[in-house]
Amino acid sequence: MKFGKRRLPRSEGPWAWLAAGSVALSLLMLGGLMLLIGARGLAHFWPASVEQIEMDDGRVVAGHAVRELPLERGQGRERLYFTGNRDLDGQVWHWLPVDAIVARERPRDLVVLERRHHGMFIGRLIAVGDVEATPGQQPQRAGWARLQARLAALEKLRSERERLHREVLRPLIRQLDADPDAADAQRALAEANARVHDLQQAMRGEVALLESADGRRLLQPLDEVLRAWQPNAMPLAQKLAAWADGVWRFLAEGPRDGNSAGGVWPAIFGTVLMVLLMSLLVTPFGVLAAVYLNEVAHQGRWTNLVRIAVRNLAGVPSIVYGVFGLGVFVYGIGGSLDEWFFSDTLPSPTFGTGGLLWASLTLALLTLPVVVVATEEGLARIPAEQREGALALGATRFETLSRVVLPMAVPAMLTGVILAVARAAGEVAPLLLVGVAKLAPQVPVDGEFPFLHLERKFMHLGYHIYDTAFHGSDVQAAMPLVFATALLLVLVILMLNLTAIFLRHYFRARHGVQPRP
Amino acid sequence: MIVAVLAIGVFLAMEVMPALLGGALDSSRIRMALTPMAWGTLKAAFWAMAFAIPLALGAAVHSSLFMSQRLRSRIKPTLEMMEALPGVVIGFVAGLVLAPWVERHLAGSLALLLVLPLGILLAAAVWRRLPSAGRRRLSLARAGLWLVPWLALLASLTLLFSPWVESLLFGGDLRGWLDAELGLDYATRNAMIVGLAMGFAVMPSVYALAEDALSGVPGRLGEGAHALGATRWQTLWRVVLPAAAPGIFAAVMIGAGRAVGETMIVLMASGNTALMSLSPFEGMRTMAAGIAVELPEAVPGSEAYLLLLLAALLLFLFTFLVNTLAEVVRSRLRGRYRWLGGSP
Repeated sequence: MKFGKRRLPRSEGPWAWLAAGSVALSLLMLGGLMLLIGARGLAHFWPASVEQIEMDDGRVVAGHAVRELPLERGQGRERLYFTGNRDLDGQVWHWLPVDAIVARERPRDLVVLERRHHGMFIGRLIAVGDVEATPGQQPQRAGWARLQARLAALEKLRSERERLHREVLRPLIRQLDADPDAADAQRALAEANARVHDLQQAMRGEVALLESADGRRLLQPLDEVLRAWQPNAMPLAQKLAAWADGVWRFLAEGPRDGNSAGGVWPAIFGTVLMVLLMSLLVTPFGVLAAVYLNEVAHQGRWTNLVRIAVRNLAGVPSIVYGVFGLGVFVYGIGGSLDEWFFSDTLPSPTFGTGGLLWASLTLALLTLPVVVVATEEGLARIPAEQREGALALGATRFETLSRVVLPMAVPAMLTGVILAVARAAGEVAPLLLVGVAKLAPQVPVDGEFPFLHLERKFMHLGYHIYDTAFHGSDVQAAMPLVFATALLLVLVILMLNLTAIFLRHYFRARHGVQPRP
Repeated sequence: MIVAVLAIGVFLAMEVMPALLGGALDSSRIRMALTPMAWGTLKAAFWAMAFAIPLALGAAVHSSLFMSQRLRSRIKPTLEMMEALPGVVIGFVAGLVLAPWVERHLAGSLALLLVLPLGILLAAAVWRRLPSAGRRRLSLARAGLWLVPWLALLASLTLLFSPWVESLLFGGDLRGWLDAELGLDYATRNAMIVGLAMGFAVMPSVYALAEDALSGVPGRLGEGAHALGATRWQTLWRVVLPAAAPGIFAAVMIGAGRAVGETMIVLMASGNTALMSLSPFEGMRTMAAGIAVELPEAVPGSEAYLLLLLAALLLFLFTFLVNTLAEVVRSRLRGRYRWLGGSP
């Protein structure tokens, strides 16, 4: 009996459970990470309520609670508040001992202003208008309504100025660069400049009189205020609208304040442009290589060797590709190009430094194996009967390939390209070497000939994360923005991967039924 | 195609070799510059693998042998999705969120390493006492799912109670205790954090390859063992694992290649200090991170530039060898499965 029991135990023993636990632990970590990025990334745009805190020594502070820690020495805890008002306090954070807090309330009249300089303001709005002329205090509500109307008007003026710069001023300046004596162009330029000047005058006019929670007053020129809200007085629907507006501004605007505020539009644009260029480069080469390996070449020792080499290429660290790109593309080819075509500007390099073209080429090389492997897999799944049928009907080998085999392999190629794009979008290490910029004032596409500037540096979402998180001046303040950027990057990459998985699934379902002989 | 592979190797060799042979780089300089980086690389890869291998192999075993087909087809892509998470994001979370957090909750985090495995075993023991209806509902096949909330609960309980344990055993200051008793200095961004983050990044690829190797073992082998009365675990240990061992070896090798070459995670989560110590609580600098930081500033042709290219060449050769080995082993294995499985 005992013998039998030992041979046939009732359960699987502890190891099977530990194995199950490792699945659970992996899922837990993945879920935790996604939750963290998702929650912190999206919460950044929420107009959170603002607290006004009274301390036992009479100090009054207004801000959002960020986190709480036990005190370094002694008993009790202290809480970190984001209080804004860098211009008044010289800092945006306050650590307050929890025990010393006398009162916490959420007055409805607290306003939060997002400003072009000095970051956020948290406090009260006293008056709007030409304050110095009429120093009387206006009724609160009128002040707030007037501020909103004024901000909307300013937004219009600002976009009008942008439009003038883009559509009138820059073409004129280019025209004058080419032909400095064109009289009508000079007149038009002077007119446009005058209009811009008028706009700026109109924007400058008004100021807001603000008061911080502890009663210090501040005159704020209104043209520096980007957005304003009263978080404690907002109903939910309005908060949602403000949140959506925040998300939209994050996606559509450029960075401000040394990348620690504002949006990521240039980084999105740069990433997409680079990935597009890369897929243009990698698709033909990858597909051709796969077709050659699978359809044309004699299947033997040599092709097997090439296959192993391709898989190897996928395992080479990305930083090594970066070194290769720097040495061969940037210093090698780029240096020669500079000597031949751009010798008049030479000490400062044109193509001999990192740029869009070299980054795309390097990443194309990096993702080549992904495309080759996926396409080859797709080609190998096409049943031999299809090819044999085409050949039996009198098609040549080229006709079989182009009319029968390749159309059937299109989903596999797409899968490969999408996976390559997903890989390239998240790869940062080689870009450190071959050409991204911390802050690129111009995107690499504009109205100036040749429209697409392959030699320019560009911004990249992944690099933006690295740079803002590690080289910014106030990392703590930039963290929410980094989380938002990380969320965006992860979402894009996950979407691409899901599409690839779906395509592959679809392809397998379509051709998987026929057994391969 | 093969030209591309060769081109990388040839380029690196061409740039570095003349300098090496011509004596522009003296061997003592090379040793001084590269030893700390090589040490850091190996240390980071070691901790990453120490974290990733048990997790990846455990998950592979569970999903290939115990899970139902349906569940497996859901779980596998989910875990493979982890591979797609970009290194910058993992590095950022590890370096700026996890590292300070672990520093503040050091005792709790270390306790987790002990509590979680014990908690799983506890769950197993409780499971055996359950009535059979409960056992059927919470089956081992789905344990990968229902253990998740249990582990989450355990983790939060551990973190809740760890301050008491810490004050009871270590006088409320584990960092001070480590320093005083074991002489271990604790740096915020250290090898443990890097290992955790890089293990997280490497784990999915090891998992995917090991899972393929395990589930590729011809079914009749396992069925034969089951028919002779072996449990699934015995089948695994005596039959399936020996058959799939080369594939698992290949998976681990490829994972090690990844860990050695990973740049962004190390750059962001390690202190990037060229220290040579065994302690898991100190930082390090790896070859990949060194290249990423220093190469853009190095003047082409200078000594620093050549040294960094040499580091890149070493990285390339190492991963090339490891991957070739793994690839050869895998293609042999495929032949063996065909032979073992006969013609289906």
